[in-house]
Amino acid sequence: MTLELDQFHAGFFEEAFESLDAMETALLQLDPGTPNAEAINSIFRVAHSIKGGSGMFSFTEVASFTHTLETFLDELRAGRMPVTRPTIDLLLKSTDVLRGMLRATQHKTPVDQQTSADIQFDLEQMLVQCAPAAVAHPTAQASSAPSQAGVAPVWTAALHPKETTWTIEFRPNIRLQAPGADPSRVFSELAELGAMALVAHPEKLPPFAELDPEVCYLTWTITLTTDLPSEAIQNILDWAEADCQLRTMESAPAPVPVTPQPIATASPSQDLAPAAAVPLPPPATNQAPSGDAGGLSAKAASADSNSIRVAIEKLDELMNTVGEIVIAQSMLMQLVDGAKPPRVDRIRAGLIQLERNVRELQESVMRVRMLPIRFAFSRFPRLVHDLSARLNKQIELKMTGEQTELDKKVLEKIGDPLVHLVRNSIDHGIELPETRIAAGKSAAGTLFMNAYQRGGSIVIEVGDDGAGLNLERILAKARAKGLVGQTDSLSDEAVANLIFQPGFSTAEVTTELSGRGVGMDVVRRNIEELGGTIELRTQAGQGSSVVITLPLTLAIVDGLSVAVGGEVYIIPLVAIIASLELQRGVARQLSGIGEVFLFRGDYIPIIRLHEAFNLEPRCRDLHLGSVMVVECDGRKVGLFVDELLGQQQVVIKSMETNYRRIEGISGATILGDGSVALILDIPGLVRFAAERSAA
Amino acid sequence: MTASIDSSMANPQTVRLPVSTGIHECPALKQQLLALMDSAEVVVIDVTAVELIDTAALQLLFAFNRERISLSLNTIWQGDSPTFRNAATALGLQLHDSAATDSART
Repeated sequence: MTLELDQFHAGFFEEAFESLDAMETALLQLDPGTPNAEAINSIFRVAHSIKGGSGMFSFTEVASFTHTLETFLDELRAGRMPVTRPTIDLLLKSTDVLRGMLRATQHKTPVDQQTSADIQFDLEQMLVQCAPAAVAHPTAQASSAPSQAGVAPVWTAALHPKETTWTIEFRPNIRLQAPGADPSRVFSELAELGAMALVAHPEKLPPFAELDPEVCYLTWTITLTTDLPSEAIQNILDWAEADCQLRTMESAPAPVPVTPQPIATASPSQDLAPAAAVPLPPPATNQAPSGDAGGLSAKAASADSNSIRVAIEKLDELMNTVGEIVIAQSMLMQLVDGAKPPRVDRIRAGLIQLERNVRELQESVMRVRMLPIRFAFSRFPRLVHDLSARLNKQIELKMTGEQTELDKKVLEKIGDPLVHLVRNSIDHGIELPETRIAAGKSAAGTLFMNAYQRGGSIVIEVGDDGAGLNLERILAKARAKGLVGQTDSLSDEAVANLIFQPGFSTAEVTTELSGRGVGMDVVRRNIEELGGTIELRTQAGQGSSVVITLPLTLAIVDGLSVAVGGEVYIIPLVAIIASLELQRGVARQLSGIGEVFLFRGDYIPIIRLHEAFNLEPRCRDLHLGSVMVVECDGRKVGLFVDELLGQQQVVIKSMETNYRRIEGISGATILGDGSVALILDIPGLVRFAAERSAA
Repeated sequence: MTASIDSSMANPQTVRLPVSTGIHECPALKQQLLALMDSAEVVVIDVTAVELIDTAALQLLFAFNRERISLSLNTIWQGDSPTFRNAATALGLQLHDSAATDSART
């Protein structure tokens, strides 16, 4: 396969997956009682466009499935089949199957034919039950040529024996070709309906030098003679309607298709004209599509025609380059600081201006990497729909702040933890309707998801109005597991936080959803790996909520630089509680824990960084250096360092990418003097302290 | 991939269309064609390799051809590509003789 074809495929799959997501969202919003006609049309257009694209690429299994799906949706659209809950469920299953088929096709792995055949069968069965007229005479199906996927339209020639000639003025909107639909696709589909001729009108073409390749200047007059009803034509034109000015009118008599003239033989003296009227050839199988999956996404693309897709790698490179500029600028500033007048003031002024510009550039690049959190939230309506049905619960999902933006890398990694939290809420939090009613609540529980920006952080809340955590049961379980001593007294907050312990679960029955105790500790670890924190709030009988705080970006961190021996380390500011200069003799040795000191009523362990990293320190006495109190997982640790150097924003360089993973180090950065400083992995160091005391 | 220009001969200039001649190739193709618009007496456009082509590319080639004719300059369509031929016909555009081998001239 050529690289070019791969690129076209990639474009098709990308658009198709986006369209399927939009289709799923539209299905979940569909009201069985009073279905929204435009929503059904949009859903139909997705299936139609995926069918077209897959047919064009000879993805026959996908094309065949989407053909059935399209037929089914057409019955809904025409009102011949009612929109019911089972109908919506079946369509949702169809999107799953289609997604799986597309994924398999994309990765060149076998399609799960059994599953797709089952759903296709269900669709056909429902069609037969609800709309017998449409499929009762399969042998009398349309006389038009089968499509590329080997499937034929369902319009029955017997019902419309009389041929009619239609004239269609096809005037694509100015941006029809960018980034989506190609008129040739519409033409090839129309050609399947009957005898077709078209005339191209080039009058609006500008001088060649002024021609914008993404603008469609050509317009067409199409003459189509068919025995099929106008709806069959409209079906094909519908998806393009948002992008094209279409005028369909009945005309008579039928035109005689003009035989194509010998082409490309005009001498320079002859003005080359479009073919007078040419019947369309059989649908081309390898015209370059523009990757459009149409329908919902086409609309979105149309509305968003001022945006472009950019590979994340390019943005990473850009961010990296900006980081290098920041470092170079910082180096220059340090050099100037050591220089002498008279010109140094002017150089310094220039550098200050440069610093301001670089910071703006850095912020602009960061903004480019930001995506709305709705990309992570979008999966939850479906998840809640499916799980609540399976558990016989009534759950209303309320999502707010979906436009809140965060770094794409953070966004990618936050999805799974959110799924864990939502599943927990549905499975353990929200009660069954009868239980809720007995407790004086509404039968339907509420699951809320909220996101907002607070300073340099993004806060995501996931909660419910369910039963809340049963703290007594958690404590009993923790004692039974030996996680808490039989006589230990814990605050409510500390008890609630026990659910983040590995392997901890109070679920009496391990379900498919939860109860294996492998969820919450993984959630916490994932959040911490993102440099974030997680907090649990619960109230018996009122519900629970989890508050996740994440950095806006993984590319930059605000940190405090500290000296240990001859090295400089960066401590992320977000983890720092306090910096102290201990007085002589305040530290004690406790057996089983090691060196500790009293901080705000608690004894906290001290980690001497020179010991952890095997360095020769400038001082070994605690009162001669500084202790940084940092916190993670509700645990505090004092980090002993030689000296505090200052606060600064640093660009994070991955250790794994550039070297290898090192315990206690989360990354590296380059300082203004060109030297490398390592960024401390606070969760890792806190764990290290805990393990040391447990050993 | 972009179209390549074979300028080994002083005249004519040959533009070889790539396997995939689509909207993404159009900006580069336009620049190549624009450079040849009134500088080359004869421009040969070789379509032999074309396996994928879209409306944007065909419109561009059509506009080039049209303007060359208005300037009384020759454009020769070389080679045969069923994809190219069918796509042009599907859009009602006359560009290339379906039986062309190497001498179809506009």
